Amino acid sequence: MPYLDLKDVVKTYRGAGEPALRGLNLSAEEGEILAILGASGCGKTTALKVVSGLERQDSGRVALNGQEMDGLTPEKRPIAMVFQKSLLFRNMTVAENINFAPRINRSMSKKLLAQKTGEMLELMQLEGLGGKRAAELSGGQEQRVSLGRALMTEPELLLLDEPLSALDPGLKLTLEAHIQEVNRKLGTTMLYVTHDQKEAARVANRIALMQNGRIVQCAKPRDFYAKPAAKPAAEFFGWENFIPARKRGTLVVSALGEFQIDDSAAEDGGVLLCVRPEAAVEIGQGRMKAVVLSVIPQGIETVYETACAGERIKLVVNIRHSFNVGDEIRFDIDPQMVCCVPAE
Amino acid sequence: MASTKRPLAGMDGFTLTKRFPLLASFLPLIVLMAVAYVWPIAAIVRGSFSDEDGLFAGRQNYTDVLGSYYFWDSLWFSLRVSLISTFLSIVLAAALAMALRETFAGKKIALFISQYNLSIPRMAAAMIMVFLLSQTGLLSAVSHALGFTESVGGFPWLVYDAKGKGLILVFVWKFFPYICISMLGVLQGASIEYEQQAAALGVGKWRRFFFVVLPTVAPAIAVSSILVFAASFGDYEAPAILGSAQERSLSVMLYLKYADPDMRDRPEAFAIMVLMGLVLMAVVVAYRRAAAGGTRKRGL
Repeated sequence: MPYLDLKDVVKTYRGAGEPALRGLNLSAEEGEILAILGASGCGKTTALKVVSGLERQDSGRVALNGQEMDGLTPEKRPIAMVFQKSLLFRNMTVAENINFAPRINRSMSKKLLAQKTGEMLELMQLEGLGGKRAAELSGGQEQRVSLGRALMTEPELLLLDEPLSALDPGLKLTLEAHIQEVNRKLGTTMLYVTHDQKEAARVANRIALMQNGRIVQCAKPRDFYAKPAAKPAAEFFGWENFIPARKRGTLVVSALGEFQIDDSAAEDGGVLLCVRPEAAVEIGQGRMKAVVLSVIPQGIETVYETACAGERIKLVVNIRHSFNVGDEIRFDIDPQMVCCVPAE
Repeated sequence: MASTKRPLAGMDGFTLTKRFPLLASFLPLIVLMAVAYVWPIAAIVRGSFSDEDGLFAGRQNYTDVLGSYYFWDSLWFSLRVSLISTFLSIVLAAALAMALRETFAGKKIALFISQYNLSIPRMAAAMIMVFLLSQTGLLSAVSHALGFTESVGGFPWLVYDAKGKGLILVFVWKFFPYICISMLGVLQGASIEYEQQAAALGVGKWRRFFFVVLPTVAPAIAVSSILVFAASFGDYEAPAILGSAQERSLSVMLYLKYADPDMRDRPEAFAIMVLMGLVLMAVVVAYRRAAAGGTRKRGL
């Protein structure tokens, strides 16, 4: 039985025409970081709010560690949540923020509270900042405090709603590593919401890709790059050229040629061959020919929209090779950078 | 030969407009405002130190006013009515704001009912209270018709009473929407996020209210309730209509002294004006300090 189990959860906000969650099924194992990945408005945050109890689902069930959560108010659930904004209590010190919940709830003795606060400050790499006002912290420090404040409640499940989206890229990487370290040390199960597929792939053990209130695919990060289950999942992970093809066994035949694809989610028959834009190799020497339709410079690489064997395909080429509109590009396709998904 | 000397600072007629263009553009308005505010206040202060002929009288007027039993009685009456009105307005506004921030059917109607009385003049509000609550009013008649009171005169004194119950009702009814509106603005904004955060940390409903919601709305309550206190403390119309013969509010006492055809009490009226201003300032300062302390201690 999964540690966290969501079954057929439906949620429609009052006044909204469309449901935010349309029969959401999701499960997480104990101790793992499961990322819920999806574009804005796909229902990620609603899913977290339903799990936390901040929103009540219209139907379906939520269970944690075998216990039904439905009907429990947020404060009764053994779940803590970190929001996109740090939402620190600005007039309080870092230490007061960290121990906010057990202090307000009087769930620890003063001695234990001080000890746990010290330990949490150390775990969050905030030693020496306990007496500092929350208003004086940097963005990264604020999110560490927010994370520490949630962990102080010793939750069975920690929900993180885009906790790093407001941070700059360097700081983001550091905090991602920190979250993984905390997960390893404490073994806390985490549900991590993000819209950034790279962030999800870096942080999570598994990714649940969400679209229109449903999970499209739930798998290990590498699977989304190697064998996406459907076109939407492929698109979200950077697959761009979708060519109609036919599959028989491991052989996929398309206008771009024949490819051997050993591991695929598609059944035999009509499929879509997916070709990553970076798949073009042997530029200027390969057997395939494409005519440049448009040129989009992107720093060290250039994106060429081309016509190739009656299909429009996008190729990413290093700037050492330069082409203009109307030029012919010769290339080969790296067979490691193709896959196939069921035809829509 | 043309001079190459730079004009001295301050000697150039355009220096002010060049160096402080914003100040210069607002200068006429600032002067006008200063005259409009400072001159009347100065005239009142001057009047409070003069006799009825306008001659300097030292602190005689203040000695007379402060030595009068009626002044202290009226001051206590005005302070008590204003403080109770402000407190009840806060409680009512807080309860209503908490209810109105939720989404429910008929919310727009509830919002209208809670705010329409803002448009009713205070004098009209006082008259409404007379029609409703006096011993010859509607409630008294209904009470008598239903047999709750033996006679019309058996209905309790809710207006013209020495404790100012009718006045308090008018002030609460008229002023609680000010506090409610300012609270709603906060409660429908950042407060929800902080409340959800606290809930998601396992903090229960009542603790969330006292440790998260209340500190978030405290500054809004502080500012709006100061306005409510000042407005009810200085109000003349409602106490003039609803006040009792024995207990007069300070503003009614002031007006009677000022409007007395004898003119001899007018300097004392000026002294009362100054004292009312000082009392208001003292209360506002004390209130702000208390509110700031509370916000520092528990606010967000």
